[in-house]
Amino acid sequence: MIEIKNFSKMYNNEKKAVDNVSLKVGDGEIFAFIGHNGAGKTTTLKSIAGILDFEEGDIFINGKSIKKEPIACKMQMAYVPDNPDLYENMKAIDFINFICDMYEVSKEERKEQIEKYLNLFGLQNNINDEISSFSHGMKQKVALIAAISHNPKVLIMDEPFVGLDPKAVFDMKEIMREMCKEGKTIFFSTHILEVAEKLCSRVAIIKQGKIVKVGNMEEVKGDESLEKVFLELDEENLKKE
Amino acid sequence: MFKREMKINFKNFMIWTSILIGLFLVVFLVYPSIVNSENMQMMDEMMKIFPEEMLKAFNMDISSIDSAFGWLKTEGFVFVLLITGIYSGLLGSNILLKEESDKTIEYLNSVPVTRKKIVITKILCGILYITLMVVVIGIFNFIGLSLSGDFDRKSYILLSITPMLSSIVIFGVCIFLSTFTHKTKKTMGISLGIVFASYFLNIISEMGESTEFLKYISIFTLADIRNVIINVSINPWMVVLSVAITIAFMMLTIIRYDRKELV
Repeated sequence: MIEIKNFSKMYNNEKKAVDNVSLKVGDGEIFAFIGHNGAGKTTTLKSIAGILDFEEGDIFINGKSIKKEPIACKMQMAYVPDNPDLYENMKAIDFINFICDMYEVSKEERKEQIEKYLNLFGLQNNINDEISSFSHGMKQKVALIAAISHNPKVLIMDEPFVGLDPKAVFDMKEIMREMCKEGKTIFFSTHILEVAEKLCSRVAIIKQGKIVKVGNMEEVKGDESLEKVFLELDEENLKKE
Repeated sequence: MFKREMKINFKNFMIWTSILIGLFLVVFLVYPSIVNSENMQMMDEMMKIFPEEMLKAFNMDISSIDSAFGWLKTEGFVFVLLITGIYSGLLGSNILLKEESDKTIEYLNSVPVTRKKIVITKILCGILYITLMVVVIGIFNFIGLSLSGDFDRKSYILLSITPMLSSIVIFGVCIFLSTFTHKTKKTMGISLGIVFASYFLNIISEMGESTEFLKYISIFTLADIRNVIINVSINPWMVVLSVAITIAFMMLTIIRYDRKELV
């Protein structure tokens, strides 16, 4: 479970990138974060993942504070960034093993998991190649495999579907559903509203660092499409400004 | 993590070590023919033309270049000092900062590892590579000298270790400076500047009493080759000072990196 309490984040003591956000994402939930570029999605995700420090509020991962117990929180979590900036000079298998080492995954366990996901994403023939020779989509797949190979209880993803081919998008959605059934928590940001609409149990719309709408699909969109609701909210905010 | 760090930095270590080995290989291959020729006498005559200060700066006033070991004591160790210094400076300015430049720091920060552990691992890797470089060059030259003729082994071993004293300090200073920026380009220039400025200050400080004070601001004063040649011993205060300065910069790096906004 992820619990965000009155979370605010400022860069260089200037304007707040995220302003007093409070959210709860339960076990077995797939939660999407929707918003424009610069709305505060990535800042929130990076703060949940323990990458960014923040001034106000706190974030709890299964009851543990990311500020006070960062290692305990990170042990249960995996983070997939929007741009798969991996170690270019490493072989894909070495990178995945490196991440597994960090999470203390046993040799037997990782072998089974890695093989399963390599076959699923069709990377079994490229696993001994250097990451620098990979396309953006292939790097994204390696990042995803590394993230889910250690069986995290909480999965944080920033735009996970960008750069993936249709088959990989389908497989990724299946993996997310499977993880959800196992009671794991998935929190991701996306620009693809259709994916959010079909895949998520709940969504939040963020605008200029503030949550403007949050709830399950019915609560957020009613009888309309998520796209229409998102655009209407956008127009309302523009008028207020 | 340490294993991965060693792997990532292996290529650069090989390149810089090969440069020095290549240089010394040429010297060991060519030197016997120079020493045994008439040119040697001409070179000795030529040396007398140089001003005393100049000869002092390259230790040519206390050592002759009439043997391979003599050349090592004069010019050879200047190359070792400079190249290990440049390598240490670039390694120091790159080893932490590269994670930010390449944006891989996001990954590293999301896995269960503290920033302290990241810095300590990188520092250990850097110091190990600097030590390895000094040891590899030392062994290579030892073999080369053994094949070239007789030489003072104790003096040679002490001379081979000496560059370590300046290199670890340069590494410490540069890794600390790298915590103040986010781009490797900036610190790489500064690192090279520190190495060359320090080296020239050291040379100028040897040229006379009026410039002697400059040695107190040169890192290369810690690697006192001249003292090793004359006394066949390393000044223990220089060892203490080098270790103390390096540890101080390492501690400052850990503190600074812990507070740095990384993304």
